[in-house]
Amino acid sequence: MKRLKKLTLGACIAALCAGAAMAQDARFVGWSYSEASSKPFIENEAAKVDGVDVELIGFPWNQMVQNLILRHRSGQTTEVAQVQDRWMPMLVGMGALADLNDTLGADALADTVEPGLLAMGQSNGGQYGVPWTAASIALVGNRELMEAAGVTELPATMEDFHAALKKIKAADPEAVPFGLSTTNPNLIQVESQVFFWQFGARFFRDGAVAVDSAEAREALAFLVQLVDEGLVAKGNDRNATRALYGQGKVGFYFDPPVARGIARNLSGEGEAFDENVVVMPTPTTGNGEPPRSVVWAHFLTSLTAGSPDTEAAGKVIEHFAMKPDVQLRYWNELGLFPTTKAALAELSDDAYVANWIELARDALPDEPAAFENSAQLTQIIGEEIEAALLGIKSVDEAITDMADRLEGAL
Amino acid sequence: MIPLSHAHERWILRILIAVFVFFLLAPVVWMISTSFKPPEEIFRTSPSLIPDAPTWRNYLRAFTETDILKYLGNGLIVSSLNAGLTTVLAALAAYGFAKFRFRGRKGLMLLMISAQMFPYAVLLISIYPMFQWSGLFDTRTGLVLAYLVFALPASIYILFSYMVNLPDELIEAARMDGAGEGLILRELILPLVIPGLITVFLYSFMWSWNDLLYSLTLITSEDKRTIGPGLLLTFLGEMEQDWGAAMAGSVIVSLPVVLVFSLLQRFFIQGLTAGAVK
Amino acid sequence: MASHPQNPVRTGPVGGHPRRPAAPAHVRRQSRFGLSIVLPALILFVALLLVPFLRSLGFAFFESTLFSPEPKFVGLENFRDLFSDRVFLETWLRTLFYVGITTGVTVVLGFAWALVLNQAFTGRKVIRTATILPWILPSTVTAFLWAWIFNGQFGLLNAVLDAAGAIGAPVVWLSTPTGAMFAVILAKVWLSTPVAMSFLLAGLQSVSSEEIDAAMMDGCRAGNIIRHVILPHIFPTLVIVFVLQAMANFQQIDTILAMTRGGPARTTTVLSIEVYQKAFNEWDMGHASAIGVVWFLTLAVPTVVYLRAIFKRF
Repeated sequence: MKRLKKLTLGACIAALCAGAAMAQDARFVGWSYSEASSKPFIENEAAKVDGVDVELIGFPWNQMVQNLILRHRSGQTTEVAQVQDRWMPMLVGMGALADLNDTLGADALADTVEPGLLAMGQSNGGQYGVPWTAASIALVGNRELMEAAGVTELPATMEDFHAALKKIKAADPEAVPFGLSTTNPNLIQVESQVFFWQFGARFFRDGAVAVDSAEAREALAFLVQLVDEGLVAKGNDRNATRALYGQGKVGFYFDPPVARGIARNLSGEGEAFDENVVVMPTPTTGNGEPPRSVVWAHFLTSLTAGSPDTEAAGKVIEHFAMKPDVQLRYWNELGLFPTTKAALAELSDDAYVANWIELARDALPDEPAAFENSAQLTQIIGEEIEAALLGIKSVDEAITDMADRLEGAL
Repeated sequence: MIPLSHAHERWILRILIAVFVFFLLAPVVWMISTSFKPPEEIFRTSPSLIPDAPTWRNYLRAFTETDILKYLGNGLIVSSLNAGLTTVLAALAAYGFAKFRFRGRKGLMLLMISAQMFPYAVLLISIYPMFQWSGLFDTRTGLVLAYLVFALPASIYILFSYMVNLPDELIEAARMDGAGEGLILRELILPLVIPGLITVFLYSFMWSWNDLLYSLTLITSEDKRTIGPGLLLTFLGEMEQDWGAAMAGSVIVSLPVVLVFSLLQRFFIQGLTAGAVK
Repeated sequence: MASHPQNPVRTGPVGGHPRRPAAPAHVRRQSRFGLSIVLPALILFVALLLVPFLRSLGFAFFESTLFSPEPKFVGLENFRDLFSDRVFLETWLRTLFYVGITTGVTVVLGFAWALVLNQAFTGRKVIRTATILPWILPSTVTAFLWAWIFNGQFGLLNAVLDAAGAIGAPVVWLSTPTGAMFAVILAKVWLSTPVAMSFLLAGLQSVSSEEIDAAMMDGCRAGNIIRHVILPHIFPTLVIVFVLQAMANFQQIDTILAMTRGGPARTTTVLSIEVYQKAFNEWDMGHASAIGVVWFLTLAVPTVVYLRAIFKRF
């Protein structure tokens, strides 16, 4: 009898302990989990989050925002979601994101995260996303390919750039000198935008359509010329270009710092490929515009839909985005820049990081993203540029139509 | 058939046979061929039909680096459930329309058949909020229900054509003998239309197996994905240029329907054409 | 209750018209049974097809986007936006083009193939079974397969044309408007031909051999037999097949979505893709539904034709 009592008591205590130590559940939705190069890192780190059972859900980047919106509208609980910078205004406007000041504390955030980056995730005093990695989308070159073609210096002006592209083409007719995205309106819009900026054009000014200008036509005409001369391939998007870059078939292309990590994977050479990856300031046109790039960041957010375990959400976000050692591991394995003050300080000697961050100072935020119907505006801009690049419309027609359609959409 | 007396007519026939067989089958052969090629042979501007160094690499990649088996499993579950339910419902409804008279019969039947003209993408606009509030969103059950309405109209029509030709005397005789309606349906009618039932089962299975739009929109969790979105989303990202794996995945995903179909094709063609064309 | 001499059994109000005699109890019971077994299918149909469809059409009169928490009634404004948008009108015309060409080519090929398979030759059965393959493959697979054949750098089409000396440099088919439309049409024709063939073959098999023999006696050759004997006989079937295919092609979205996503630069965007884009990329339900209404009305024309053809069978 005594033995039975002891056993029962023991069982009760065990159950209580287990209950206390029972893990919280968190769903973590992102696209990095669906990409081969980043999957292992995410899986490893997710397992290390204290006291939280993280369920990882992956979607390709192309389907990501659509699925986030679907989850929000259908009330599906999502503790943590990876969000691209350009989607933030839209999601905040929809009320889809929770104010992380409540869970993580504004002070703690201000202490740990680099202030400029932290500010990118703020709106009306609320912190709707914690920057997980931040830099810019800039031109990345392949040093090996350049040297093989006799391009010894990074081109500084548009003429130099043009000449460099021609040299690369002459050295290797099968290569794609400039891997500009020429399919998928979303990508076309983001990347071509940089050239539009560089030539002094803007899509919008003060909330009104401003793309109907001589500068815009000049920029587009330049890109069209590159396509016509075979220096830009038709029908490639960034995924295809990344694959070709890894095989040494692309001279320059647009990518955020993930470029290095992806190239390690796709080239099959691992870290040995690193020295080929070089970031370069966008060539200037002599009009005073500094070398431009596009602000780029991944945020970790918590969706308001359903019944999220906010505490668990906080723990996951804190682990990935606020712990310097985790951030440094992210950097080491994937080449993604950290956002915490401590981690950034550690990397101040690294040339790759230092160069890129220096360039990012002149980066501008994606123009359509500021609007509610950014998806529609991006689609319009991308479609019209695509039409011009593929020779379906003349530069003039494309710009005029773009301005018309944008006016109609605002 | 038309008797061909002249030699050149027979030649024309032979050429036509060759052209059509080539047109209809060559692409499939090419798909299979590509699936066995290593990347060096795929990324060549002058490819060959038979791989010089055939490899299982692509299939291995498809099995280990993608979740294709999971997608196959989900697809089989959803499609089989859908096919089963559709067959039962269609058989009941077809019998009702074919052998009974009740008010509104013609109108109802016309209404249900006309559903084939409703644009599916438009339907989706309302179905997904409906599914959200009823908790069916992102569930395989929800998908099964959504698919039901795809194949139902055509299935009812196919079975209707079968049953309408069954002699009324048989049924009357059974009734005279005191058999209940349910018994008549189960023991008398259904055995007589088994080919039609098989046709309808296959037809609705195939429809849901092949679907992309609904499964892409109504299922958002990776572990519940079926084959359409599974294939598409897997090869949209980093694996975009991996045509070898994409072709291998395509072959894998096509096998179940091809298998099932080849076993039961006799009934299928018979059933499809029986009603529509007399 | 006065009783009419010739019609001793009468129901109905006093002084009303003579009615049909009340059905005997067992017939009424059968009627109820018949209705009851139709009911399950009917209920699902109403809940999952009819109601959503009417609601979708209803959305066309509201402004409903990501940022409007409650849909706002705006009457015909969405339609006014549509019809003043040149881009929409282009999309509509493009859809007619796609449906017209795809259906036409499918029916012609299906008919030719049916004629061939109607002849006796060795291996006919095997070939007939094997060549239904295009229809069985999942639509995503078909889209991938044809996208691969049309691939700009390593595709089969370029290789073949290059070997035949027909082109100088590889053509990036899916990045040109004509190439993309051609690819998308070809993929759909390829997968639909077996089905069209099946229907038409069944029709051909009901052509009486006496008529053919009679024509042959008169010295007719195959070509004339087809023209004068077979075509008139099979014409109704051709019409039905054409209408069925047209309806299916109007609905088609899977192959286009997986091959070109409506590109390049909208040049393969047909109404189905446009509705999907507007609804699930731009989250503009109002305009998406308005497009849906226009699409439905366009589809209604061949449907009425189809229904009338079926109606005759009742």
